[in-house]
Amino acid sequence: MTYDRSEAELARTLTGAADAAPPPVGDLLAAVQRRRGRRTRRRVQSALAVAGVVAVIGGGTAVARGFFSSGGGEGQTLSAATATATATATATASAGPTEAAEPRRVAIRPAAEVWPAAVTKIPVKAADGWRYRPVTGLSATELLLVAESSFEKAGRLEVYDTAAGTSTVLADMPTPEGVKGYFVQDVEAGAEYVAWWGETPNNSDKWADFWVVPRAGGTAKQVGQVTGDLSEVERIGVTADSVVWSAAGGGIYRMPLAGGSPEKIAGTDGLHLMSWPWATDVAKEGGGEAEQKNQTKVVNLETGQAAEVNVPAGVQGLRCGPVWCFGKEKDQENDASVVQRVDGSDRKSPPDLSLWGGERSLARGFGFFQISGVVGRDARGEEIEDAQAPLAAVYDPATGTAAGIGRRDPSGGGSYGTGTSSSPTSILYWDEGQRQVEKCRKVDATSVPHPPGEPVPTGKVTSCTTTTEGGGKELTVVNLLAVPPTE
Amino acid sequence: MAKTVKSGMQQNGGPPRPWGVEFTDFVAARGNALYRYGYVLTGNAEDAADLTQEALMRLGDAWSRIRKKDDPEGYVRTTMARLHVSRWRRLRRERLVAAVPEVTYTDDRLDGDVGLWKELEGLPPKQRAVLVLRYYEDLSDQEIAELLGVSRGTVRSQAARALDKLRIRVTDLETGRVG
Repeated sequence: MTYDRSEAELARTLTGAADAAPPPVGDLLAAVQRRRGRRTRRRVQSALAVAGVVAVIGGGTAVARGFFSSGGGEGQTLSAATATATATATATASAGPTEAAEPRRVAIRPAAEVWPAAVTKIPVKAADGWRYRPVTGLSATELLLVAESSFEKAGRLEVYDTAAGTSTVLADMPTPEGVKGYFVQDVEAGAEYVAWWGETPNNSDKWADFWVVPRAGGTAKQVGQVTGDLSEVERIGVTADSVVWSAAGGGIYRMPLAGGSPEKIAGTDGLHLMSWPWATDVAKEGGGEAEQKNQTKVVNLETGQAAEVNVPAGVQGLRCGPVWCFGKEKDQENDASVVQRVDGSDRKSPPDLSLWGGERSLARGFGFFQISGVVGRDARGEEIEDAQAPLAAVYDPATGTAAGIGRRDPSGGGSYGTGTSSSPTSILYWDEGQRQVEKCRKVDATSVPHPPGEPVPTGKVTSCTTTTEGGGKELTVVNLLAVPPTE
Repeated sequence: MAKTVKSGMQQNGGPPRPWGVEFTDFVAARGNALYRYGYVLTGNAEDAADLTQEALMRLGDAWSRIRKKDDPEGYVRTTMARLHVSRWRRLRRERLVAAVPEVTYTDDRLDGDVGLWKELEGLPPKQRAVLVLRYYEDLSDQEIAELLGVSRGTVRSQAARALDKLRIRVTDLETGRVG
């Protein structure tokens, strides 16, 4: 072979090709935003920055599109960008597969079909207009609810009897005297007591307090107050004689119900409460990289026994209860979930179930997963979604049964809530009547924010926002304590 | 149940925040150069746009972290090179190939060896990436090795194989570089 070329020629050719590259089609930033929209559609987002309610945003993103200059430096590409955005949306909505036959469907049936006995409807509001926020099931027929006088302002605890269709007040949840901006955070149902903690989240005080009321009802009693790092409450539990909690930085503490000083439970450095008496070595909240960490042990604080988690290679975000673990594969292009026992046995990857953060563990060892609804790709490489697929699923690791949660809008979006108990909840709920609606309108480009230094765009751009409509009457509730036992 | 200051109770990961003005500024300022780098890496406009968009999306999500390191462009270029040689890239490429018309736009404008540019298409992604990093990005073999997460020996062997295929004579065997 003749080596007739030099390295300098290669370098010159590469540079020359870069200079001579054909200008990219459309607007780069708009394209990146669309791409992110396609991806985030499959991910769980919280529509409201509040406990428990999760919204999956359907097709398109709520951003104004296409008003930055193109990468090629040819000035404004307003019309091109807008046209591309519209074309993409239309193609996704109507084109479907061009070469495949009938696309497959997500095989997960709604919870009402899988576990009819566990699904019920409750009013969204109490008779006096206070809104209910479901906490967890107390039994197969009793739901613990918080009634809120205004948004996120918990005022009282109620127990809803699903057999009778009536609700009774368990206790009022008073604001401690002299405390401004107080909000109740997590509520926990113990064997004998219901406990909760509150704080003043909108100021910088490091302060929290704890309350209990007997499960039979009565007058709530403030157990005590804490300050400093101890007040960074992560989760709580309640035993026959104490409230227990873990702090965000790790370490588990207890305080006698009769009152007294908080004390650290020996040997709990770096541990985080999961559900009394179970603790874990990963923090509850973290997001990002912390969330991808794998749990490596499960500790029983009553017996002191610790089980090592058998963490398989290539898995991230593994979270375990006393028996089962839920996580996902590291491969970002593969949404595969991972289910196994703590010792690594019975490992499986249930189809169509994804983990995009949020709750994984539910009461009774059930797992909680999101359903992307993506069932394939069309000839253009665009994802095909099953518009009828539920938004999420409860998964029974023992039997492999999955039950669908929530209702997907035609847009691909929708929302559902998870009970707000500190321990893994037994309640999932959603509003069947609610719809996500994307509204787009043409607006003058000058009314849309644009980067400083860029020329002010002219003409019309499409601006879209997603809002919810309808609903507000009934919540469909799945109570996992009413799921028939399988063994 | 207000968690207006702290993060949500039930979600570990909050909603993706809207990208800030700094990120959009960055895209406006550097998007063109990044796209051209993508073009050299991939050899065609469609893949270049795809690669640039994917890497920028990832940068956007990591912006608050990356910005502190003060080298968002390095982050994107690294992401692009890695994606190019990754399985992700190959899968996407297969899907896209059918839909992409052959672009010959470059030929009349290319200041360089058109035949050589065409032959680069025949290289496996990793070999091509090594050449681009070495001769377009001007990185040392050690830097390339770190960037791609392979050994320096692999970089050198990949480069040698690619150069051989392209009939390029290596002038300085010690460094593999032309002064």
